[in-house]
This record gives sequence, structure tokens and C-alpha cells, in this order.
Amino acid sequence: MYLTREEERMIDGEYGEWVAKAIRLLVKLGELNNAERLVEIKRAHLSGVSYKTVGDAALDLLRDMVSDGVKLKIYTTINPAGMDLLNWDEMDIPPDFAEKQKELIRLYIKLGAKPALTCAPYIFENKPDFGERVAFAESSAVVYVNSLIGARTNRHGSLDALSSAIIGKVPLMGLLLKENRYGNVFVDVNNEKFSESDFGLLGILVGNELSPSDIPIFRFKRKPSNWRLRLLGAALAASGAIAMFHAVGITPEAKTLEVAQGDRELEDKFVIDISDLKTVADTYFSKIDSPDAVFIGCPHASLDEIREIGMLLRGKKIRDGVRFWIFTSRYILEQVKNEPIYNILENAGVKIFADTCMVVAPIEEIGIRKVWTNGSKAAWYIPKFAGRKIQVEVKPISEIISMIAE
Amino acid sequence: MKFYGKIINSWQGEIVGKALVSKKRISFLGDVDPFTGKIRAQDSDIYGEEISDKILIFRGGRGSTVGAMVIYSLKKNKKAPLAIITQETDPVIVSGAIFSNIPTVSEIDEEVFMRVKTNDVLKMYIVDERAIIELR
Repeated sequence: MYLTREEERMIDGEYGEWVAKAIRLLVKLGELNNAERLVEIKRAHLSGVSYKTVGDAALDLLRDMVSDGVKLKIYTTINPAGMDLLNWDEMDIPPDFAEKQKELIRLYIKLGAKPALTCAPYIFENKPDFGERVAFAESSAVVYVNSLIGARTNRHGSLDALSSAIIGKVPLMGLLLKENRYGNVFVDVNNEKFSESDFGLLGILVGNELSPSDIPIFRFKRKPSNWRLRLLGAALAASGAIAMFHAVGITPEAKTLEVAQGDRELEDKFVIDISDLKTVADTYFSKIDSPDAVFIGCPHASLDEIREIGMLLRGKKIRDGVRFWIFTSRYILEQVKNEPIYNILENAGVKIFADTCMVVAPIEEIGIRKVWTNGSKAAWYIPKFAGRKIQVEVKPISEIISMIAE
Repeated sequence: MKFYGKIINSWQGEIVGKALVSKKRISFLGDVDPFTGKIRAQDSDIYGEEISDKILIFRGGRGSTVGAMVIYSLKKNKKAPLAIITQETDPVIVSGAIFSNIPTVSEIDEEVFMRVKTNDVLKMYIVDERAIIELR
């Protein structure tokens, strides 16, 4: 790999031990992927923020970095934490968990990260431009910025994203290069009868079939809204390791099938309609008659999604004994509070939490056992984190509301 | 007998230590106790063994990307392996090993799993940018 003189000095430790570790890691990953050099980036997004998922391992690492005076070189946002920072007691979070979680976030802030605490920073806090090279670590955000914005990121792990933020560079490889961004699997979808949650099931199905280097090209019979495609992308990156998809006529690098495919051979073709998705739900998820919680917001709910829920709940009240929680970013929660929809949701008994979500909050410790959600990514991870103590069923919001609110 | 591999995180001089060999993949998050260095995955073929100060030889990584941070915790808790040798190259293990200064080799000859047994004494050194693992 070609290295500038300054980069060589960084490797030799002239800029400190952590800069040396960071660049050595990125150069090694670059060499393993035949990168010719490092390139500068202006923004990063880090995973590894919830105390539930990263625990004392991250505290150990970040304490050392902070005491050695490490500062992130570029604008960097971070993923959701294990609780709402302002209303964690309303979530029944244990106080000792809250203390550890607060310390973890303080350490990230001391490094210079902006505590966006969202998996969807591309809506407001950290929105890359078309064609911009970035280092994003949250898998659902990786898919979103590659596919729906046309920004370029590889699927980073927590430490290589952190390293990129420390030196402000990434190895020039993989999806940063246009020639690696063409699709190779054609997925023809009759989505005429799809509800929003079916897009997540579609993602689980396709993600399971493909390998990490595959880029699916979807052709939809009817154009889905942006937040439905977010449910699809998050699920693709949960059951598989997909980092990008195309949707013909919708995503910016897929004006036509030919453009999306470029010079890459189509290696496989799937034809999918709603009947295929029933099998996915039966195979991977549970059936629940009566839930004790409804969780919306995986990925973090957008304003459009929250408005749609508000419309469905107008004049209704949620049954006692069911926690109906929506998870979103602090920024979007503030927007919602300024809209009439906020009162409708409050009166119906909905709670909206920011900074966290159903996947990374310690929900198994607060007595929740049966969950309905419209997000397949959440349904995929929750039972795994909870040691199968929690069952999850994927359902569309309209059906959920018709069954638990009147 | 000598086995050859690719250097993932380099070291100076010779490393001599006892081998701990698994034919399976390891997720450092979950499968390894960061405080004791013990393998706690019940489906592991080295279940209950301590990885601390061993030359840990295994197939590759699995599961969470947070595993890199767990490797760092093991090092802090003085429970890290002396060296890591894998067959597959997993970015999670690469990043954990580099951040924790643990000598690491990947793409090791498949034969190592047949020839080297747990508690065999190994010597590791570098010649012409290739890692050499010697069984004495």
C-alpha cells in the first residue's frame, strides 16, 4: 500500500500510541483488501455505545483512550445507548446500568464524538452527500447511506470506524470504488399487497440467501415510501451482511436496471410476492396472541412514520397492560412535540423515547416477554440478546393498532 | 515441524508458549469470559479452558463486532492469549489484536489442526515477512 511520509510517521508512533494503532489497523485492513492508499474523509458514525451490548470492554478501552488524550479528528456521531438519557427511569432501567451507560457516553463525548445516539444519523445529525466517502459502522445506516443517498461507505466494525475517526482516513477499497457498487442479484418483487412490515420480512429473506459481496437490485411493482425501504435495508443487514442495494427507478445509482448492474453479471434472480413472506415469518419469528409490549422504531422512527401512527390512533386508547413505545432520535422527538400529533399519541397512551431502542436497551431485565413490532431487524435480534426469554412477532402497525386500541 | 502463516500483527524476536487448539470459530463477545479468560461457550471443543498466556489456535471469528473490544478487555485484565493464530482472517479479531498489541497470524496451514495438540510447546518467529510456527 502507498503511504505518505506523514502516514509513515503516524505508524512509527510519532503522533502517539493510539494514532499508531488506528492507522496500523486501517493499513492492515487495506492490505487485506488490496487498497492502494488511504483517503481522507470528513465524517464517521460509530457503533458500540449501549452498555448492554459493549459492556465493560468498551469502558476499559475508552477510559484508556481518554486518559491518553485521544481526540477524534473528524465529525463523528454515535449510535443509540441502552436507555433514554432523560427518561430512563420511565423505562424501568436499573440504576447501576444507568450509571455505567452515562459514563460510556461521557467518555465518547470527551473523545469529541457528538452524542446523536441514533442509528439514523443520516436524517439530520450526520447526513453525507451523494458520492461522499465516509466511515459508518451501524449496519442499517451503512445500507441506507450507500443505497438511498449514494454516499460511499464500507461496512465498518466498531473499532475500525473508531480508527477512521481518529485519523480521518479510510483505506480506498470495496464500496468506496464505483466499480464495486454494481448489483449482481435481481429481485423482482410484486409488492402490491405489501404492508410496511412486509418490507422487513423481504429483507430477512433476501439477506439470508446472499453473501456479503452481493448487491441485490430490487424491482418493485409499486414505488415504496422511503421509510419502508429503511425497514428493508435494516433487515438485509441483520440476516445477512449486505451493505448496499439498488431499487430500480428509486435509488440514486439505479435509474434503470442496466445502470444498476453496470458491467457486472447477474448471477441470480428471485421472484417474490407476498406468499413467500408468510414462510419467512413462520420460520424465524413467533406467533403471539396477546403482547405485553409494542415496539416501533427499528430503525429509529422518522417523522413520516410517527405521523402515520398518530393518524391511526386518533381518538383511540391503547389497552391496559400493553406498553406501546416508539423509539426515535432526540431531534425527531423535538419535532414531534411541536406537532398536534404529539397530543394524540400521548392521549392514546404511547410513550416516545429518544437516544435508545428496543434492541440495545436491556428490555429482558424489565419484565417484557411478548413483543409485537413492525421492524424485522428488531425481531431478528431481540430473542438472541434475551437468550430466547422474549418472543417477537412482526406485524404491520395498522393491524397492531386495530387489535390493541379502541 | 514448521507451519507458515500471514502476519496480521507483528512482533519482535521469538515467542515460546503452550498451544490451545480449537477447530471451531470463536466470538470473543459471549464465548470468552473477559475476567477469567475461560471459554464459556458450551458448544466449543475447548469449553472450560483458559486462553490466558496460551498460543491460541482456532478456525476464525464468529458473531459480534464488539468482540474486538472484548479482546482489549482480556489484555487489560491480564487474561489475553500470548498470541493468536487463525486460519480465516476476521476483521473483528484483526482489530482487537492490533488495538491490544497481541501477536497475530492468519492463513495458517490447515495441517496445524492435525499436528498440533493442546499443551504442545510452540515457537513463533518471523522470516522474510512470513510467520513461522515451529513444533518441537
